[in-house]
Amino acid sequence: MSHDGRPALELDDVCAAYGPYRALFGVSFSVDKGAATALLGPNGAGKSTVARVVSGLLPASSGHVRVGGSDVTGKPPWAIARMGLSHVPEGRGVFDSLSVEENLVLSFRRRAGRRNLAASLERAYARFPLLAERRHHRAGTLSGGQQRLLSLAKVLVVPPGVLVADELSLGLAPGVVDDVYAALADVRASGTTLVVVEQQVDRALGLASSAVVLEHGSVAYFGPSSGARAVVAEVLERRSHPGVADRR
Amino acid sequence: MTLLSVRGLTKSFGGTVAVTHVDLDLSTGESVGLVGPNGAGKTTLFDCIFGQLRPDAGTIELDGRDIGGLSTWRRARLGIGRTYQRLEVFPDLTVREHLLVALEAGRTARWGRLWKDLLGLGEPSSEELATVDSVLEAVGLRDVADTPVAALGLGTCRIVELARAVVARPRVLLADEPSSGLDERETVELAQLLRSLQVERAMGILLVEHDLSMVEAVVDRVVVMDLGRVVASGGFHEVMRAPAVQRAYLGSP
Amino acid sequence: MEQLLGFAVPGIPYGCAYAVFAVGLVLTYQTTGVFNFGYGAQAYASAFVFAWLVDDHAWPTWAAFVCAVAILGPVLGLVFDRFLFRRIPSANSTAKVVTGLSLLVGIPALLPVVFGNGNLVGVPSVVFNPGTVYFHLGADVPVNGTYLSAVLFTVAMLVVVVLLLRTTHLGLEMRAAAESSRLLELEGVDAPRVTATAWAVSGLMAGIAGVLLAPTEVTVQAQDYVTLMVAAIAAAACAALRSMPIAALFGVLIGVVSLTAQGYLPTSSFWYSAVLPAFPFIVLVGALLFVPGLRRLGQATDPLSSVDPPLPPPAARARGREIDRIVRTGFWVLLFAFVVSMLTWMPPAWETVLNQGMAYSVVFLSVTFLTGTAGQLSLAQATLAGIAAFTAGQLAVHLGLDFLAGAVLGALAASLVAGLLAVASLRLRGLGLALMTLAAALLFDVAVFPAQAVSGGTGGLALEPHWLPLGLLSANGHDYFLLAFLVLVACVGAVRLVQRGTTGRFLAAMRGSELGAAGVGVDLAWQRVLAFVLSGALAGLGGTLLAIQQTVIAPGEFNYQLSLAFVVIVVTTGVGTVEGAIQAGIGLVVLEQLLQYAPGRLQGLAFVVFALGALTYAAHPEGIVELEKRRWTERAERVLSRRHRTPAPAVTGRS
Repeated sequence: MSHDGRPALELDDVCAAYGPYRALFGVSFSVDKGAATALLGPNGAGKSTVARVVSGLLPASSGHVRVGGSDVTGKPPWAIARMGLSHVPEGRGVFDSLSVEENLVLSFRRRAGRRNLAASLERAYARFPLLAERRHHRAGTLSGGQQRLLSLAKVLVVPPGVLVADELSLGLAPGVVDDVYAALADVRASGTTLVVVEQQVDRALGLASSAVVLEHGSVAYFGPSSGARAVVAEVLERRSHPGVADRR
Repeated sequence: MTLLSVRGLTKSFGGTVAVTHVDLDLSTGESVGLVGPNGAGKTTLFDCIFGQLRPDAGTIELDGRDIGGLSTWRRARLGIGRTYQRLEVFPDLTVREHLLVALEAGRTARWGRLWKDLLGLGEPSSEELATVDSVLEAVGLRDVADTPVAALGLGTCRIVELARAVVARPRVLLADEPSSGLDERETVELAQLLRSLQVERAMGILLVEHDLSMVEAVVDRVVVMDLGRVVASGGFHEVMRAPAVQRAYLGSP
Repeated sequence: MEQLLGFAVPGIPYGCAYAVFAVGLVLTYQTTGVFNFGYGAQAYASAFVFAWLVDDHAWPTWAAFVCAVAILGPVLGLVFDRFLFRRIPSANSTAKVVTGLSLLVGIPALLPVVFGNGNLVGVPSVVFNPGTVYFHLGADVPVNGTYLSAVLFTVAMLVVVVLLLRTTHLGLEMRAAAESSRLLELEGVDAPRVTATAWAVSGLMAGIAGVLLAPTEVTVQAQDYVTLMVAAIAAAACAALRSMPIAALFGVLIGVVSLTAQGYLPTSSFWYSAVLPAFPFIVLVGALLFVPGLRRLGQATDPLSSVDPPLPPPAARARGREIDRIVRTGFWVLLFAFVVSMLTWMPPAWETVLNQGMAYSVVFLSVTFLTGTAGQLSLAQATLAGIAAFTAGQLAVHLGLDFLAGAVLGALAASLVAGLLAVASLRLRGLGLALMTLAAALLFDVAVFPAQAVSGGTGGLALEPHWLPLGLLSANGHDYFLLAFLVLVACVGAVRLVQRGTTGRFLAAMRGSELGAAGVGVDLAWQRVLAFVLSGALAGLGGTLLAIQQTVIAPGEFNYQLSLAFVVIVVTTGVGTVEGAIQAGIGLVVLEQLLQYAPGRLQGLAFVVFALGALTYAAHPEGIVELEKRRWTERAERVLSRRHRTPAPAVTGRS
C-alpha cells in the first residue's frame, strides 16, 4: 500500500510514563500510508497512551515516533498536528464553552483553509443534521454522546493525513456507530491513514487491514488483522479478574 | 411490587427539551435496560431521579414515598445507588476507604461522629470492615483494597464505583454506561456481577448501556427513549424488532 | 439635579477605573482561564515605574510610557505565563487562585525593595491635562481632563477588547485555549503562543490602565490599587466574569453610586463611616449570592487533564517501615530537644520569636484543615483569628472575664462566624468561595474592626496584665511557651484525629468528587459547615494566642492581606499535612527575624519570599517542604535498599 516506501506512522521502541507510573515499555509498530490499523488490547494495556504519545500530548521517555518518515519525538502536539496527524482523544473532545459552530470553525479553518471554511461547515451539517440543529448552542449543553459525535465530525468531514481515533465508538448509540464506521470507510478511501483504538474488537478488525495488540504496555501482536482475534482472546484469558487488571 | 415510580417527568435546558413526560416503573429485583440514541435524555433522566437535576414537572416515588423534593444525599440514604458516565471517584482515598465512606454515610449521626473522631474512636468497626471486605471479595477488588484509586485504571475505577454504590445495600441501582471503557472480558464479568446483585440482593437495576449484548444479558425488560420520550418498552427481543426502535436507535431504514 | 450631578460626576473617573480593571479581569479570565488577582499589581507596577522614570529620572513622558507600558506591561504578562500559570496542571484550580494571590501579595511588597521606599507624587497625565476644565456640565459642574481621559479611554478599551474577543479568530482561539490548551493543540494551533499572546494583551491593558488612571489619585500607592481591585472584582462578578460591557457598566455604577452617596450622607453617620467604604464588598457579596453563573466558577474544564501525572502520595505515607521508624524516633528526639531548649538556654529574643511562631502555627493549622483536608479555600482566616481576639478582649474589658476563658468563647464566636459564612456560601465552589470569604474579610476590616466598640480605634486594645493568670503577659517567658505548646499539641492532635476518622474520610471524599460524595449519602452542606466551624475555632484559638503574645490586639494584625498571606504561606510549605502548618508558622517568624539583620529595604521581604515560594506551588502543589521530604525519603530508601540488597519495589503501572 505504501506509495513512497515510508510508513505514514512509525513507533520505534517507545517508552512512556505518567510521572512515576510507567505505561509503555518499548512499543514498536508501523502503519503504511492509506492503511488502517486497529489498536487493541485489554483495559490498562496502554492503548490510549500510544495515541497520546503519537500526537505528542505525552512525551515519550525514550524511543522515536515518526510521521511520514520525519521524526516528531519531542515535538509539541500542535506541530505534529500541522504535519497532518489528527488525534481524537477518548471521551469528551470538545470545547464546552464554545458553540457547536465555533468548535467546527476552530478545526476546519486550519485544516481546510479559510476559503473552504463555509463549504466544510455546510458538509458537516449535511452529514450530521443533529449538529445543524444545535449549531448555535454551547457544546457543553450537548449530551455526552452528541459531544462525541461533534469531535468525530471535525475529522470525518475534513479528513487529515493520519487519523488516530481513541475509543472510537465509546458512548455512541449503535445506529450512530454504523454511521461513523461508514464515514471512516469514506475517509480511508480518500487516502487517510487510520489508527483506531476500539473496544468492539470485531468492528475494528472489519475495518482494519492490520492490527496491534497491546498487553501490559508492550506489543503482544503486530500483523495482519486476520491473526489478531485469537491473540486478543488469549490476552484477555490471561487476566484473572477485573480487580487486578491494572496491577503488575 | 413497584419500587421506583416515575410519572410525567419533564426537564428542559434553556429551550432544549431533554426529557418530556416520561413514565417509568421499576419493581423489586427487576432490572430494566434504558436504551436510545445519543441525546435521548437517558442521563438527564438519571440525574432527575437522583436529585442532581430538578425536573420542571413530574413526580418520582420510591416505595410510594414522594422523593421529588429531596436532595441527592437523602435519596442515596433512602436506598438509591448510582454509577456515573464520567468517573466520580475520590482520588486520594483507597478502594477500601471508598466503600467505608459509602457505608458510614448511611448512618445518620452528625455531631456524634465528630465526637467519636475527636476521642479517637473514628476507626471503622470490625463489622463495617467485614461488610466492606465481603463486597470487595465479591467484585474481585480485594487485591487492590489498599491502593489509592488515582493509581488505578479506568476499568478498575468503574468497578470501584459500582462496589461503592452497592455496599450500603441500596434497593435501586442506577448504572450509567458501566461497560464504557471496559474490554470484552470485563464487560462479561460486569454483566454477571449485575445479574447476581439483582438476584441475591433483590436490587432493582436501571441500566443505561449502548452495548446491546450486555443489555441482553442483564435486563428483564427494555425501555427505549428517543428525543426525550419513551418510544417503546417490553422484552429485549420484541422491542428491538419494533420498527420505531430500529429507526430511532439502530439507524437502519 | 445640579447637586446630584455635582456629586455624581466626580465619581466617573473612579467608576471608569473600576470598569477598566473589571474588563481586564474578564478579558484575562476569558482568554487564559485564570482569575488574575495579580492584575491590580501589574497595573501598579506599570504606574510605579512610569512615575519613577518621569519624576525621579526626568524622562520625557512618551519615553516613560513606552518603557513602563508598552514594554513592561506585556513582559510582565509573558513572565506570569511562562514561569507561573503555564506550569499549573490544568485540573488544579486552587493552584491558579493561590498563584494569583501570591502576585497580589508579592508585587506591591517587592517594588519598594527594587526601586526604593516612598510614595510617588504627581503622576503626569498622558492625554488630557488633568487640571484643565474643558467644559461645564449643566450650569457649573466642571469637567476636567481627568474625567475626559477616563471616559475616553474606558470606552476605547472596551470596544477594542470586545472586538478582539468576539469577532477575531485569535479571540476564538484564546477562548478555546482558556478551556483546554491541549485540545487546541490537537487542532494544530500553537496554543502556548496563543495563551502567551493573551497574557501579553492582558498585561498591556493592565499597564495602560495603571498609567492612565494614576492621575486620579494624587499619589501612587499599593493600597489604592488593592481597593480598586476589589471594586473591579465586584463589577466583574456582577457580569459573571462573562460579559465585558456589563462588567464595565457595573464598574462605573459602583464608582458613581459611592461618590454620590458620599455627597449626600452626613459625614458623622454610621452609613458614612462603616457602610460606604464597604460598598464594593457588599456589591460583591450580592453578586456571589445572586448571580448563578458564579457558582461553578474556577472549576477545571480541561477534558485532557488526565494526561497530567497524579499527585504523589505524602512522604509519610510512602515511606517504608525502616525509614518510618527512624523518622518517628528523630521526631520525638527533636521535640524533646526543642522543649528543653526553650525552657533552658534559648535566648529570650529567640524564645519570643518561636513563641510567636507557635501561635501562628495554630492559625495556620486552620488553613491546613480547611484547604488541605476539606478542599475549601478561605481568604478570611486572619479575620476569624481577629474576631476571637477582639471577643476575648471585649469580654475582659466589660465583664472582667479571664482572658483564657475569653479565648475559648472567642474561638466559639469565630467558629460561629465561620459557620455563618459557610452557610451563606453553600452554593459557591472554588473561586466563588474564595471571593466570598475575601469580601467577608474586607467587610470586617473596613466596617467592624476599626469601630471604637470593637478595637478601641486604630491603636488597638492593649491587654491588661490582670486579665491573665501566671504572668503570661510578662516578657513572653516560659509560661507563655508552655501555654502555646499545649494549645498547639492539642490542636494538632484534634486535627489528626478528625483527619483519620469518619469525618476525615467524608471530607476527603468531598474534596475528591462532590457529585460522588453526595451520591453515596454524604451531606455536603453539613460537611462544609462543619469544616468551616472547626477551622474557625482553630483560627480563633491561634488569634487569641497571638494577641497574648503581642500584648495588644490591633486591627492591622488581622487584616485581609494577612489572610491572603496565610493561605499563600501554608500552601508554600505544604497544605496536605499538619506538619506543613507548623513548618509555615515557625518558618515565617524565623525568616522575619533573620531579615531584621538585613538592610532596611529588605525588611518587608518576608511575605515576598513566601509569595515567591508559592510560585513553586504551580509545579509542586504538594508544597516545597513536602517535596523535599519525599525526595529525601526516596534517597534514604535507596541507600537502605542498597545496604540490604533487596530489590526496589516494583513500579505500579497505569494507563
